[in-house]
Parts: sequence; structure tokens; C-alpha cells
Amino acid sequence: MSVEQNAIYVIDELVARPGQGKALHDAYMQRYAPGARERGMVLAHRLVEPAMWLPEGVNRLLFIWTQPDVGAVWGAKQRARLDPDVDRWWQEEAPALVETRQRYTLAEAEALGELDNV
Amino acid sequence: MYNLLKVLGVTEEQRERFGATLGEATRRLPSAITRLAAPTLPGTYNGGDFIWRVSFADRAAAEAALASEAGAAIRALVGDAQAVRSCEDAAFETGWSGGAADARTGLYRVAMFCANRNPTPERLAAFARDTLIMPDHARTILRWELSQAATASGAMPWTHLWEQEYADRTGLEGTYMIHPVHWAHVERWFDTEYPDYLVAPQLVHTFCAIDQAILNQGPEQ
Repeated sequence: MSVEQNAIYVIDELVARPGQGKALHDAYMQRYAPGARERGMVLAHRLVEPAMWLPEGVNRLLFIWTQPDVGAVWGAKQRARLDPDVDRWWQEEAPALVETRQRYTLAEAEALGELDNV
Repeated sequence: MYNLLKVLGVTEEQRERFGATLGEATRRLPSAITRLAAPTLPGTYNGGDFIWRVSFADRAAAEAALASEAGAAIRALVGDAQAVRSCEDAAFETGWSGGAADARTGLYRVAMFCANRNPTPERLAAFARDTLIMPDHARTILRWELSQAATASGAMPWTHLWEQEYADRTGLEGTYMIHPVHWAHVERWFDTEYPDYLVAPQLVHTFCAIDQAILNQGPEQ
């Protein structure tokens, strides 16, 4: 199995408050992404729906991160848990720009058998 | 079953004496169905130096045991501020339990949680549902119990006790930690980066060696 198939994905799905899509993207990249990179996460995609900033409407943002293996997932979690900047971002800064959000932890369908066999 | 649990931090100079006295008094505790008084192993998190856990048929039996001479000795020992530097404490009826009652055991692990972030009945039920499927997937869990604290004290007002037994610590540090049911599923209730997290980041994760099963043991056994 290739490294890519073993990778773990973490997706932040953020629905911006009306007219705040671009501001949310920029804030996420400036205030959250650098720390996540330091924790070993690799930002693979920044996807915006619809494919334009809506000054008067709602943008949905998908930030797709990858990590090479389960050990990296736990390592990043533990470092984030001890970092007050992470808490400050999600609890104090992001809510001004975020209507709703979800986080997902995923793997390729082809990898599930191997991940289960531990 | 009614259970008493203490995770005790003890000063290094007092540890040997403390462990011997605790073990001796625990053996004399009347009516206990299971007894555990053991030093923790390296690698715990907020895990103290000793785990003390005893089970009784019911709360009345537990209270009677604590009122006995051996119980008084344990209370005095645990209350010795010169020796005890931390005490994470919970008393609880066994909640959900499972696993083969007689499978060979080797390691006891307990996690103490405080589910205090928007703990609605619906969210607590969903948390329990997700936790209860873990033994079906992390197959190194031999026996387990998930319970809610009746009373608790310590660093946090503990609400939940998640206990497991394994054949050895590789079952805990290997399969339990690296199976996706843990890091990709149940973790949503613990990871503060998830919007729906439920459990306070400060928790107890501690374990010790055992040579006798203590979980999922009915009074008749």
C-alpha cells in the first residue's frame, strides 16, 4: 500500500458568516494554519464553495489536511491540546467569522481494512 | 456492584511504606468482592502512584467496610497530607460492563473523565454509545466497564469511569490507541478542536499490573 493510501485526512468544514468568507479564509491561514503545520499537518487543499467570494452571501470553506500515519495524528492532537493559541482560535477568534463548522477525520476507503487490522 | 476508586499520588520517600500499608489494609477490608491496591506503571497521564479499587455488592456494604477497622486504616492513610499529594476519587455503581469474566488478565487501566461541556442527556447518551462499541473493535480489551460517578473529587469533578483489562500493556498502547474506533471516532468527544467535544482536556489515564480479574465480576463469582 502506498504512503498516500495510508494517509489520514483531517477536514475542517467552515461555513462563514454572510460576507465573511474571504476574511475567514485569511484569518484561518494566518492564525490557525501555521501552528497546525508546526504540529506536522500538511495542508493539501483549500476549497471554496461556491467558487467565488460572496460579499453578500455565505461561503463554505473546506481545509483538507493530511498526516502520514496514526502516530502523527496522536502527536498533533496532543500538541494542540497543550497549546492555548489553538483554543483561543476556535473559542474566541473564529466564532466571529464562522456560522457553523464541522471537523472530520478520514482515510481512503482502500485503507480501512489495514487500519482495522491492528 | 458498588465500586470505590482512588488514584493516589504519594511522595517518593513515603511510597514504599504507603504501598505496603495500603495493600495490607485492603486485604483485611470486609465484604469486598474484588480488591486492587497496586503501584501504577510508567506512562500514565495524571495517573498517580497507586490505584486503589474495591468492589462491593452494594453501597451499604461499601460504607460498612469503610467504617471497619481496616477501612479506618485506609481512610487515615489516604488522609495523611505528609504522604498523599493527590487523590482522584470516585464512588460508582457499575454501569455498562462486558467481556469474558475468566479471560487471563495482566493489566488494569482506568480513565477518569469530566464530561462538562454542554452535557445534555442526548450528548451523554451518544458519548456512551460510541464508547461502548470500542471493545467490539479494539479486540485486545478483555473486560470493560463504563460507569458514571455517584460521588467524585480531586482535580476535576469526575463524571465517568472508563475501565478496561488487557492481557498486557501492548493491548492498551497498541491496538486500543491505534484502532480508528479510538482516534477517528470516539475522539470527537475529547478533541477540543472538534466543535462538539464533551470531555474536559484534564483527565486521568492510569494503569497497573494485575494478576486477577476485577472487572465484570458479579457478586456470585
